[in-house]
Amino acid sequence: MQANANADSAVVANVANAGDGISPDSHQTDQYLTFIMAGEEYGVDILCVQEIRGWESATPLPNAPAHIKGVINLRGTIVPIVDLRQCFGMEAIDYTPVTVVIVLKVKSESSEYRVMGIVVDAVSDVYSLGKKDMRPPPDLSNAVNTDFVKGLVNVEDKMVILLDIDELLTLEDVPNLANVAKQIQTSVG
Amino acid sequence: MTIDLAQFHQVFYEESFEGLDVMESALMELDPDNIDSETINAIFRAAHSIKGGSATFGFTSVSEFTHDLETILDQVRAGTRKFSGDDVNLCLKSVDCMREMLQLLQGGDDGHTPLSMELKHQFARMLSSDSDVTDSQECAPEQAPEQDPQGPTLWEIRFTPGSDILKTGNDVLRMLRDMGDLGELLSVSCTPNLPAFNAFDAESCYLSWRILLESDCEKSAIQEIFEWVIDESELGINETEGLSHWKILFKPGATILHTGNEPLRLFTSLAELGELTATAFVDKLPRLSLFDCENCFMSWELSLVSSSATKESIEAVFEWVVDDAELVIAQESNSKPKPVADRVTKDVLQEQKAPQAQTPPTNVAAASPPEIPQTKPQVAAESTASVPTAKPAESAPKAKPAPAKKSAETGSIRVGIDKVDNLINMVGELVITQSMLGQLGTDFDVNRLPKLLEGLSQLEQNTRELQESVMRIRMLPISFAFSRFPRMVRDLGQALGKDLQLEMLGEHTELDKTVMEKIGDPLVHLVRNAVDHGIEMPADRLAKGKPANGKITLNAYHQGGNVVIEISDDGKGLDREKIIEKAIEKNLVTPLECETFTDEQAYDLIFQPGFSTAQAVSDLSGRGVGMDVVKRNIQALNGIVEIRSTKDKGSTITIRLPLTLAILDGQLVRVGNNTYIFPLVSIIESLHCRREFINKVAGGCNVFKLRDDYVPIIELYKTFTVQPDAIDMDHSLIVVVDYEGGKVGVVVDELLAQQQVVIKSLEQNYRRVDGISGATILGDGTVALILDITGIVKLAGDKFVQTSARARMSQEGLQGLAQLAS
Repeated sequence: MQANANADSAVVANVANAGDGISPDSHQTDQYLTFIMAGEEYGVDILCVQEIRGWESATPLPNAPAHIKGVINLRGTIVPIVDLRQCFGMEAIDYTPVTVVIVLKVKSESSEYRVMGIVVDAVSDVYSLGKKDMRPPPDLSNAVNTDFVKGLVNVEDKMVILLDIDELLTLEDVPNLANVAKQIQTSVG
Repeated sequence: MTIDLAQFHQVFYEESFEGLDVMESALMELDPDNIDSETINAIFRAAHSIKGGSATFGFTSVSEFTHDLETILDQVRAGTRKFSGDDVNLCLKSVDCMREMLQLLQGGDDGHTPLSMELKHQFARMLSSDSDVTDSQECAPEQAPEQDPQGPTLWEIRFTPGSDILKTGNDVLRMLRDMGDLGELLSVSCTPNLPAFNAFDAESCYLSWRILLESDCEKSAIQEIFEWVIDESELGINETEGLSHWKILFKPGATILHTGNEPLRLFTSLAELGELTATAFVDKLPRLSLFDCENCFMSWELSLVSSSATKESIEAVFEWVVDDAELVIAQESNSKPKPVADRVTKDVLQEQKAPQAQTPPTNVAAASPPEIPQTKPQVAAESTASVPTAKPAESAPKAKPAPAKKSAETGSIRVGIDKVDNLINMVGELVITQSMLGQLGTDFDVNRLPKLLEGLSQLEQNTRELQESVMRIRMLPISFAFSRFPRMVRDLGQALGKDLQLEMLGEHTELDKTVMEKIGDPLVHLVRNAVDHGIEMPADRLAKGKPANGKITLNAYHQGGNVVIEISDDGKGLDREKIIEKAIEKNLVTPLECETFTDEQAYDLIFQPGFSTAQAVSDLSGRGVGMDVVKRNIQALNGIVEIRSTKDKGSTITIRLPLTLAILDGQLVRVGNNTYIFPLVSIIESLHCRREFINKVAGGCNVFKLRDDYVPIIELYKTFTVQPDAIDMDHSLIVVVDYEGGKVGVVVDELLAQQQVVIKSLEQNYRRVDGISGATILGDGTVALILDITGIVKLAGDKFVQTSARARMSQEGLQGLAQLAS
């Protein structure tokens, strides 16, 4: 019963047709889906995005770290759900029926794809970004792993943090990111 | 009507590999001193079908090889050849070789291996060495051409098949082709024996054949081709001794037709002299504009087999045209060394014996007959262990294509017919139930509700039975994995000079096919280890007061939801001190850590990557694959490995594997808001928890008094850190489960339904979670986790494990302990 209700509330967006961002200036562009978390805009490669769903309760895994919310049944596949806020060490917020889960296909070591969901505050936009628009991530040399930050980009005077989802979610234990977001903030802004 | 034979290749490979297994096990059984005709027949039959199959598909490398082996086996069968222990070894080696050849063929290679060449030479020598018994002319030319001064024999074969031959699936064309492989088909004439038109049956065969075959083969080789049809056919095979075989090259001048001579008429007269076959050549044809239809531009090559024809009589036929034509008449029968020469040079080249390769083949044997038998046994003997200098260069490139076989592997399964019959029966019942329900649905009223319920429960039962038997299709007896060990242990024992005895128990224990395939290599490694490191040399064993022959036991059985495989040896056991020493040396542990190690923990060290207790790298170990790989492979199957060992008594390695990978019977339980699933087979009983029956042992673990027994209990909510209904145990239930032969109670809030669950992997998208063996999707679409008892016990802590060991102690001792604690 519960599952049906959840399925109804699932927002399955056709991300490919979502709004255009800045127009592509060359063929060297990639499309990024951006989402909002704590007022900041993050982007992931749209080719990694399988679908966008509403939050549905997940089965918790025993002794899992707090950012692993559990696993859900995605049409027969067991998919783990990661709360990206908690993953980044931000304050956890309550989930509502409009909480968004972005289901990502992540490349894993064994060439097959892994499917994972990330919980974010809201989906924002789709941008086409040229490679040259991208700035390298700031050097956060103090032992913080920023491999998963692909780069920073300016869209209409907003900063968008592009994430390398393959790197981020295949890390054996998602690292303590408590400081990463803060450090990006401080070093950029 | 060409049929794509490739579609049958897979079946052929499967059958051949099966045949090889049969040969191997029969060879192992064979006692050379007292040959059992049944066994030798089994070996022969297997070899024969492999040969037949490979010849059908044109895998000549295999069919030729098998042919030689078969000849030897045939002689053994007929009792004309003594079979020694060495011969058994040779045959076993040939089985390996054929397996390798087939694998190469599967990978698209031509199937020739260096070993096959060598073995063929050995066969040839065996066959020629006692030619008094065999007069095997086929192999003789290679070793002793001087025995064969007459060259190939001319066989006349008269074959009149029964009219039903085509209906039995036999194809004369194929037989002719097979005969062509034996030698040169000089003439094939076909005589129709057609019935009256209205009696004609298109599916019957009304033809008979007369075939002249020039070949160095034996009569039996020809007979063999007709083996399947001999009962319904008339067959005459005669050696046409004294017949001469003429080759005539006839190139008439262009104007031959102008002189009134007709080639056709000449040939008719030639045909009167004997069996004639003609091949026409039209290579002299001019351009169309220059073509004169009154001229002859053709030439012929004629082959005449005759008992009476002399050169003069042939010349007489051409008397009128000889001035006008080019005519070469040559007697062919004695000058046929070509194929033989080819074969010898080829083989010699393969052997890379350069000096011999340069000498003409006839001289090789003539000049150095004693040399060959001397060098070859050496090569053969050394080939398995260490390879002589010239060999690696040749074997290395040959070995490379082997990995390609993977691509050709298509998963298939051979299922016993009884299982399939069972399935068909069940599907039949299911269909009946379905139609009954369908009928009920078309005109339904409330009065028929009981009928509906009955139908539904029948449907449920059908579904369940069907599912069970479908699952059973994937299950194979573990003897499939065990079957390779008798051979392996025997070979290893011989190589190491150890006296070994292998005992296999529980071979009928069934195991999922995929698990079976993946467990094979780890098992091989463990058995190898047991033989190499475990069992001592006979002298050492005697010194220790043990029997000289070491014993290795493979045992498989079901326990709970697991299949357990044990590999035990009665060797020297693991040396705890040496392991620890080595582990410290390799920086795997610190000396301080080791002091508190239990034996179990110490033995566990050998599963660390890079660890090997072997003092020296031998041929058998030190291949870069260690116990860590074994452990990883077993863990990949959700299995567990454990070691038990006693010094000088031996060691036992236990592998526990889940029974199947796909579906299990589960007991759903609830802890707080969470639903978990126990594998039903592991549950012994469930009962209400009563405060007064619970005691604490040494302040740590709780034990529950279950009748006369004390059972350690695990509070799942603590282990999994979830919120339960009540901390108060009085409202809880205890599920008593089987844990490695003992009992463990798991405290849960509520028992829910029992149902079959489909196991889904957590690792696929996430990773292994301790205490959880997988997940499943319940009827309402939510995910529930399947409990892994061993994992939970581990999670509950080492302290618990120790207590549980104590809990299994005698009742008095435990009672005392419990009282002490309370």
